[in-house]
Amino acid sequence: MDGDPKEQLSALVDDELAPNQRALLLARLLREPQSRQQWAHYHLIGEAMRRALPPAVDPDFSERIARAIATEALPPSPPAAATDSTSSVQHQSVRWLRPLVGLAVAASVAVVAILSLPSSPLHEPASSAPLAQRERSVQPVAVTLPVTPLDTYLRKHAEYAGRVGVAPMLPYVRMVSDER
Amino acid sequence: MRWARGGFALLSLLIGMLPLLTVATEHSPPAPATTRGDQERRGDAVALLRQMVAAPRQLSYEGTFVYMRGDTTTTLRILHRSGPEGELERLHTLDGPRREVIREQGRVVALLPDDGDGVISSGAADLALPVALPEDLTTLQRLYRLQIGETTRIAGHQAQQVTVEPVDALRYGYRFWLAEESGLLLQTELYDGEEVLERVLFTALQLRDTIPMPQLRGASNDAIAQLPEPVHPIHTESQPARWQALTPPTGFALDFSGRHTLLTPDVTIDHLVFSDGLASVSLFIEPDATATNETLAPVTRYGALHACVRQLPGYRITAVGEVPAVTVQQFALAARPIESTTPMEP
Amino acid sequence: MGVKQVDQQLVEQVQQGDKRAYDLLVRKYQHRISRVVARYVDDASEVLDVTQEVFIKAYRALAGFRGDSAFYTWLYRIAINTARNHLIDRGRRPPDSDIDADEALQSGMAVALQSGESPERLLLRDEIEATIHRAIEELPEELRSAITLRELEGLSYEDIATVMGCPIGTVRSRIFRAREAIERRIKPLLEP
Repeated sequence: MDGDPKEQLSALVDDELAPNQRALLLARLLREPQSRQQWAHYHLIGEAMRRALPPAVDPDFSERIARAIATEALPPSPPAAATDSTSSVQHQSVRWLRPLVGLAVAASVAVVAILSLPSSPLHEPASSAPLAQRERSVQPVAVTLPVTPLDTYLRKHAEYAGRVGVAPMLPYVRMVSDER
Repeated sequence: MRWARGGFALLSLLIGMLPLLTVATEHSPPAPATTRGDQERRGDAVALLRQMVAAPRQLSYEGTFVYMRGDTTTTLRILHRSGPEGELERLHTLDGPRREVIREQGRVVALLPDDGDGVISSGAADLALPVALPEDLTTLQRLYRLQIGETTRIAGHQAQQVTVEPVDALRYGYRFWLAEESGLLLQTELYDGEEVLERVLFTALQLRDTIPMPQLRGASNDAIAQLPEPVHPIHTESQPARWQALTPPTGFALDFSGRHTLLTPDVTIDHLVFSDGLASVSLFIEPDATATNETLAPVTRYGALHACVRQLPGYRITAVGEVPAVTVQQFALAARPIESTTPMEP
Repeated sequence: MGVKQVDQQLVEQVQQGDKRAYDLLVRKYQHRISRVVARYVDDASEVLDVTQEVFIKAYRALAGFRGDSAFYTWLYRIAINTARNHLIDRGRRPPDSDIDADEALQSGMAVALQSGESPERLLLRDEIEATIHRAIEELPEELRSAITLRELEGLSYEDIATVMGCPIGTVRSRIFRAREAIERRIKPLLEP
């Protein structure tokens, strides 16, 4: 039932494997070269179906990489700080809202969050400094916030641009497609 | 014989494959004594545009398309359902980082499933709103020349091309290719002179009786459920404007005015949307204590979008639109507060 | 999000010294990254060279990856930067102009198969896609539906179960059997 490891691998590729089974399967994946092949093939199938393959494919590519890094020193392990992304300092310009969620602030009912484009070219790292300070404060003190990034405006405009005119799809597609 | 409107397309087909187009007049031999007048042809083009706006709202369909802008190409999938209970639409990327937009009655959800991030906003772009093409398209026709073009085949459908060419340099041009049968757009080009700035090209498009709900939710169910609780809402209200654009660029009229709280509840941002019937420009006015002088930043470009930021003492004005640089700049320069003591229209 | 968790676990595994975990990440993302690189670079061999560079760079930088963003987003940015820098190094400007639709979709046809120094066995995407599409067409209907709803629509097993009117376990099994059948057909293509 749950037993067949190949079927489990298929479920893992779809992210439909129970967390308690994941660790075991990952361990097996790491051990067995043929499982890694299967992993590669299953991903390839999805990409081919979506017509998302590059023009040419090198079946030995991953071996090439493995050989290239075989002689590299292993990357040094990161410091013992937690890597849980919800608690780490947010560097993207608008994801800072999430740490604030933990604070007891009366909020109204409408459900919203902020969309972040992590690769926004407009994000200025300098402006994230005050955010780090806010991270540690307990009360939501009124602080001078950085001005709204252009990204947010571009997105907001896209919402409204689709209301008028005859090409309603373009603004949504702009909203959805890649980094500017 | 006119274009069959979306709902009648099937009926016309049943009537026996009557040629649906009156527009291919360049190809049909002219009658000896009369030719179709410019006015009629423009009328056909207008009818095509109306159908182009109505069809995607009235029909259920699914398709795959490529979006090209500059050096980037993204493949996307769209599913749209139209039924007695209303409309629902899902747009998602098939390559690159996963992104989705779901539009439904009353809200728009934008998601980055890989990052577990998203925005839900209500108002403007949701599908509870009716189609917004004005009944009277005279203004549009003063600003753009409508031209019927060739028929061709795209994604297995017969397509009719329409060009919407700007009469001045304040706006971009569009080329649309509509499926003859349904009126759905198969290809769209947004161009500036010789340069195509954006293109949407369908590689597959099918009409459906309906789309099952799970397909419209897709991967988004989990993603929406896991969005964090908000600190405060992105609050949008339609409001009488506190700002205006004095002498906006020709042909643009105010379409929407409202206020948002976007990043923080204590800052309200005024938002004006102007449109010429095809293109639109947003003016955002944000209180900014650090703005002391009047400055005008160089226009920045994002594919077909231009943005221009201008500072006035105490305010930061951002003009954004899918128009040439000169137009956003004019908008940024035209923005000023409506003095409450002066008897002006809100 | 599940995808993020699996990637994050693999990344942590690499950070703790297990290079085999990196192999899994490479196998998962190599084609997506190649495709991104291919927007900037025309020649197929060159695409693979640059893609290789991306993955080596990412490996070296992995110590600094803290999970602020999804692993793929981070990798994607490295790919864009590497591809752009590659063009600049070669004295070429990153392309401004529009990509013709045909070109974007069919550039595989014009791929140069000259491999230069490194003997790469390059397979054309078209051949792989055609084989896989043929295999899918020949699947029994319920297997074909299951894998299509999964891979093209991105539905969860639960939602597929609803659409297909069957238990989740059946969905899981159908998708697996579809993949097995397809894999049998592509194996001869991919293995020496």
